[in-house]
Order: sequence, then C-alpha cells, then structure tokens
Amino acid sequence: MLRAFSTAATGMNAQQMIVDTIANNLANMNTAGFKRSMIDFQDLVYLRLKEPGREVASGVEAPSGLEIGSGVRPASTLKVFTQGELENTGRELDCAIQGDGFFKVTLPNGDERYTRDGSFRKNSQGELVTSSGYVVDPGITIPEDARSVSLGPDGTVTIFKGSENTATALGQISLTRFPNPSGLSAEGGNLLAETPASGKPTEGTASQDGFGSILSQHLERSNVQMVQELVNLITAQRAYEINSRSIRAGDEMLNTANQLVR
Amino acid sequence: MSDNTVSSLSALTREYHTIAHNLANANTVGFKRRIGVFTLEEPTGNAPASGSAAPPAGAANGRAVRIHGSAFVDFSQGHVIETRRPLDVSLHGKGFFVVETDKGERYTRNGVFRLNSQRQLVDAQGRTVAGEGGPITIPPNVSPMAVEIARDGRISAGEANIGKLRIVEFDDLKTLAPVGDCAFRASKRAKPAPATHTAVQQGFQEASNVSPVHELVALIKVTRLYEANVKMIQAKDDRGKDLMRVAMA
Repeated sequence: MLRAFSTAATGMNAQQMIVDTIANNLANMNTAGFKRSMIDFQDLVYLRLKEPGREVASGVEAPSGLEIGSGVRPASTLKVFTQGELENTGRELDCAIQGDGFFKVTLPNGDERYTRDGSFRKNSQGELVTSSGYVVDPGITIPEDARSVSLGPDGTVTIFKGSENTATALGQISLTRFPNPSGLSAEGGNLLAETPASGKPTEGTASQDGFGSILSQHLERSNVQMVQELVNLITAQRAYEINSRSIRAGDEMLNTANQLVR
Repeated sequence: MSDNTVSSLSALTREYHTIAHNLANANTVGFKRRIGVFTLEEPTGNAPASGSAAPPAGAANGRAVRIHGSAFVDFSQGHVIETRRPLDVSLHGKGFFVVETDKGERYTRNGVFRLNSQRQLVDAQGRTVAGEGGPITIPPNVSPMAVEIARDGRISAGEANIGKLRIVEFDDLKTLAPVGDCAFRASKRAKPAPATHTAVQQGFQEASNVSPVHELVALIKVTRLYEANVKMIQAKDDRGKDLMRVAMA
C-alpha cells in the first residue's frame, strides 16, 4: 500500500513538472527567438512477482506474468527547435534566422554562447551587440558616420557612409550549427551553451550548406503555441487531481484495514 | 482467520498498485496501461480450464472463492497528439520501434526521438534507434528540422535518402514484458517480424492509453471490494466470538 503512495506521488510530481514547463513556455510567449520546452516521461522499473512464460504445469506456460510498476519519472526536457513566426519589425539591426543555425555571441569572460534572438543593437563603441550587450561574433563595428546598415541573407553587413553612394561591406555574421541542438543547455537571457550532448559546433555561412538564411528587419517570435500549451496545462492539472485520488483511495483502504484491530 | 480472504486482500492491494501506476503514467508518451486480471478460483480442486493459472495448494478444501491476480498489458492504440516536431513519430497499428541496449533489443512505442552528439537517432535514454541497416545517422549538412519520415518509416531530407526505421510486429503480444523506460523486452519464443500493418506518422506523439475515468472506476471498485473483504474477516471473527460465548456459557 505504501509503495503505491509513492507511485502516485511520482505521478503528481510529474504533472507538477509539466505545469512548471508550460508556465515557462507561456511566460516566454513574446520572447524573441525562444524555443518551447517539452518534458518527456518514462515509466519506472517493474517489480516482477511472477515471470511470464513460467511453467505452471508440465508443458503449460503462463501467458502472463505479474509485475507491479512503480510510477513515472521525467526522462528529459527537450527544447523544440521548430521555426518561430517571423515578424517584420522595420528595425535595420533586427535579423531572424530562417532555417538551421544560431548566432554566436562572446561573453565578457571570453566564453561563447549561442542564440536565435537577433534583436541586435549598437553599443557605445559602435559594436554590434545583443539586447543584453554581448558582442556578436565575429565582431562588427559600425562607424559613426554610417547612414544606414543592411544585412544580407548570407549575413553580410553593409553600410552607406556619409554622403557616399556606394555600399561598404563591414563583415559577415556567421552562423553556428550543432549535431544535436536539443542537447544545448539553456542559460537564460536567450542564450544557449554547448554541452557534450549537443556535440561540437560547426561554423558556416548563412544560406549555404544547409544553414538557414538571415532575414533582416525581422525578428523570430517564440514558437510557443498558446492553445497547445493551455490544452496541455488542463491535461496536467486533471492528471494531478486523479493521482491525488489514488492516494486518497489507498488511504481509505488502509483505514478499512485498520478497523480490523478493535 | 480465512486464508482466502487474506489472499484476496493482497490481490486487491496489487490491483490498487497497478491502478496507481497507470494513473501516474497518464501523461507518459507511448505508455501502455496494465490490467489486473482477477481469476476466481473455484474451490473444487480442478485445474482451471484455460490452464492459465495453477491451482494453489489447499484451494480444494476451502469453500470460499479465492481471487488470484495476474497482470496483462493493454496494447491498444493511444490517441495521437500533434506536436509538429519532426523527430516525433507515432505508430498506427501494432508495431514497435526497436532500440538497442547493452542487454539486447528493446521494443517501444515512444517515438520521441532526438539526435546524440554523433547525429545518430536516439531515444530519451540515449539508446540508439534501430534502422533497417543499423543505427540511423543524419548527415551533418541536414538540419534535424528538415528531416522527413514517410508512412513506411523511410527517412529522407530533400533528395537524400537517409535510412528506414526498423519497425517490428509480434504475433503474440503476450510475449512482451514491460521493463520500464517505455520499453518492452521480448521473451525467447517471441518472433519479431518486419511490420506490415503499421504506419508511421511524423510530427505526432502517441499519448498514453490510460483512460482516467476507467481507472477511477476500477479504483472505486477495488476500494469497495477491499472493504467487503475486511468486513468478511470481521464477521468471521464475530462468529468465532459468539461460538466461544455459547461454549463458555
């Protein structure tokens, strides 16, 4: 009986984790470049009381065994890297990746992080930085006398200077790709970090070799679908309730058994 | 005290465990619910007609019917949920995906796949998913988001053919035993055969086939049966006391 209490508790715990994940997804519905998370569950090991196929009489095999499961556990959270909606913002430094790849940014301590959030801006030195102020790799400095900046689909940054009529190329924003993007660890602030599970980064040029293309003056919205999340939320809430029912039922049974001793 | 009633109580407790486990897995992708099956053993001492359970020792001299428990897996199809994630695949039909472990092949209906750092298709435990020609590796220039999986399990990206998921079917599903982690182990006499009646659907997950209402009804039934059995013990106890009182008077 007590084992079933902990079985039901694993169930309640699992539903709780679904709710937590959904809450985070919903909170980030309007975060540029955010990818929704999904939590994946697996059933726990079985206590085998009787083996299936054991011989119950000479030549007769039992068609089924007797095993008792012990609940559920979260296997992993999975970032879902489907494309988010692209929104035209009209800001010349906004860019979105359409397809595979991440922007690489350098933290002040030299570490590298990856992001899909392309709401870039200039810092006081004219460097291209993310909204949190991290330098976009490879560093691109926009001169003060730049009239307008444009980003090409391959990541080339070009400017028109002062009164010149010809464009000057400043550099090229490269994209980075991972063997297993779902294995990247989310660091907050829209940044992702490399892990052993994600595999080694490969750098490349946008619009080439399967890399996505860069769309300037656009932002990639989060790929959270509100209806889908809300439906999952209701399911999780009901499942939580039902698991608490099974604890209550067990409690009732124990109570009944207790009445034996008077 | 009646041995039969006590064994009924423990069978009911096991049934309760099964229900609690099913409910805990109400949201586990690819989970197949367990059904506790009660066999009422007639006290005549004859072997059960089906040969499914051995007559327990001493059953012949008791008069009460004894409840005997055993558990089956209900392999019925769970409903599918659209996720649009390219590496989510659900199966329609009685087939299974094959995953490789160091203890041999395991079979699963949980098609929430991902890539490992070598770009091989793996499940949540990191077990490689079997293709018809060994593990499936997605080439480095193909985005995991661009992978297409056809209804027969063929995996491609654009023009490139990547491989085919190995999907097997079993004649007798009773040869499969759950081992946790959404996987089943096949017994020695099981013969996995290439699937002929199973379709693969990309961008979908197969939900757990636990029906909460069903389980709640079973839960109420178990609680009440348990209560009834306890009452029976009490009644017998009271009868004993009455006898004693008569004898002592």
